Amino acid sequence: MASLADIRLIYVREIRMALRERHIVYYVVLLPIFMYPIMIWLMYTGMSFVIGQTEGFSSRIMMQQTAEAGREIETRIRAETRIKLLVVEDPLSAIKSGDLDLFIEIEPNPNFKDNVRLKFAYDSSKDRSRLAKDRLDNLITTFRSGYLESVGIDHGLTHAAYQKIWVLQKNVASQRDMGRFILGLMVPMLLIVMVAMGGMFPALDATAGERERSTWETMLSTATHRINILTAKYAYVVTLSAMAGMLNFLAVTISMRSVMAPLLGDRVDDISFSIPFSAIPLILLVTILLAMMVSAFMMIMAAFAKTFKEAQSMVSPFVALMVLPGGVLTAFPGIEFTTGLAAIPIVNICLLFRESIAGIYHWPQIGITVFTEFIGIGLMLWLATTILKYEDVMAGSFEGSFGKFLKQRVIRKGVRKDMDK
Amino acid sequence: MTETVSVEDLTKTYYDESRGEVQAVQQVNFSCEAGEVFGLLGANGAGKTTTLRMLATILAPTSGVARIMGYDVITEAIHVRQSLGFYSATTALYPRLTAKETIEFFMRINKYPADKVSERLDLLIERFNIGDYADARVDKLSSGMKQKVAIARTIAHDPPILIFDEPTVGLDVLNALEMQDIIKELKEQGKTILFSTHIMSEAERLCDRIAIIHNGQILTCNTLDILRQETGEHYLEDIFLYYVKGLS
Repeated sequence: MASLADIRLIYVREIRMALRERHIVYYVVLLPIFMYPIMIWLMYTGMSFVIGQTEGFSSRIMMQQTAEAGREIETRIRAETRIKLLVVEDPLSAIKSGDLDLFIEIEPNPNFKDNVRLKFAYDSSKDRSRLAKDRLDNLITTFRSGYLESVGIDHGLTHAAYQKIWVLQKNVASQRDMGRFILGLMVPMLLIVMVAMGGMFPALDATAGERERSTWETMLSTATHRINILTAKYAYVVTLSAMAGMLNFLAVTISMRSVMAPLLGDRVDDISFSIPFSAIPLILLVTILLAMMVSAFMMIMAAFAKTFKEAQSMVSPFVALMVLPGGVLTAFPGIEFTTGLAAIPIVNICLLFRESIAGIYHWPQIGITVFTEFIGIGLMLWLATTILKYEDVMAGSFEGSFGKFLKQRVIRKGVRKDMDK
Repeated sequence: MTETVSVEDLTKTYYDESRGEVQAVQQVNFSCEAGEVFGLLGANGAGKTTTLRMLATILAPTSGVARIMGYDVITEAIHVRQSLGFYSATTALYPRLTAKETIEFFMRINKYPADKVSERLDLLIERFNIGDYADARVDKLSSGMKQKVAIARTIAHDPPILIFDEPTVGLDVLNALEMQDIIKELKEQGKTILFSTHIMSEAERLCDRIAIIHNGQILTCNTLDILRQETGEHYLEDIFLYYVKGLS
């Protein structure tokens, strides 16, 4: 029967060994704390640098003006400081080769007297060319608006009558709301990736690693029930997986202000990055449930590998498949935490996490999520128990993957099994 | 003498995708007594390891009965495991535990009395001369040192039965001789030692009785003197060939 003393003994041994393994410490502690904050900071710093560089460029434009009515717009273009006018022999080739950003022709409009027609040629696949077009678009819009207003005033319209609609905007989101919104977009995806990454190395080490070191056989000959060995190993993987998730969550939350500063500039002072205290128990529960689900899955997959590398190649693609949809989905703010989505494992956890950070609690969806996750975890553990009833899998002599096992033993049920004692 | 191991009609059949149903061990019978070194002698794939794994409860027999210290390997697996130490060809140690932690872990998990753990730990460290590196991680040890730790781990909980599965494979001459000395010493302490090997000289030197196993069947089981008388051969290698070729 299950023995808490044995489980504790094996669990402590696993944790002790894990904390002495460089890779595990790296994936479970260092990576969650430092990698994402540094990675995001580098990404935003890079983005703001590129944006700044692009904004600072002068747009190289060639202008061909043949319309009498186009004098005024021509003057405006010439006066624009961020536009540098050039003359080239073949403007279209120059745009393609990147030597020119835009070619504008100002010509009479044959349909309307005193009107002009502007023809742009640019390359939308080039940043600088698109920027030149945007600058000209803004310049023309401003010119047209000013022209219409002056014509209106000439015809007796007041400034107020011309405007008609006055728009005043106010963002009612508090500094804290804005911070939580940004955290809610980023943290669930990072958390799910980190829980999977944090649990992966321990899961493989506790299963395929044992086989590779030939310690599995020795472990099976010790005076404890196999359920104790498996429970301790599972608890160990869940612990490290959840730990990686929580450390990552803390690190991203704490460092978010510094991380976002390069992109938001002074506006970062208008945002407060904090999470509601009331959300912490729920976030903890959610992280543990996620870790339980992901760990069970990874251990099941890795149980079929004989070496660590083999396990890595078996598990990695499935982890990516399992983790990415949920993570990516939550990055879209428009996706709501509906009852339907609350019934989809992992996706529901991501959405629940996002809402908890924002301090929103949809209790029916939260209930469905917790229930669904327990069902999912239960199924995984049932599958694990079923698998381990097969002696060749338990002893490591089964030749094949998890897929092959499912096909042969669960779907067809063609081969005898030996029960664990 | 006390019978410590009894095996009756022990059979192991498994399914192999390419070969179909394979009879790895077929109706094997033998028994051992306290203070006896019992050798299973056979070529690779003869069924030695499968037999020992069944006795160690790592594999379940397909049919037959095996008892260790009177405990059935199927229905009383935990008592069986508590009564034996299993040493495999590889040292099978956890590389990130220290020598001391390794021995202590196996002592505790195999239910050695908690109040005597410290005393026995000191005794084993002294016996195997591992005091200098008791606190070093196993992965930092030489193969000779690892071998000592592995033996200490196997006998950590002072079991009456010891299973050594090809214990000298991969060892240099000095370490192999040391292993043989340890087995002799354990025999003198009254332990029952089940020992598998394919090295004839080793079996000759160590075993009180030898069982020659081939294709999952025990062809003969007796003392070396009786085997010599029965076959008219002197060297164990010739005795082995006599039985194996006689079968074919």
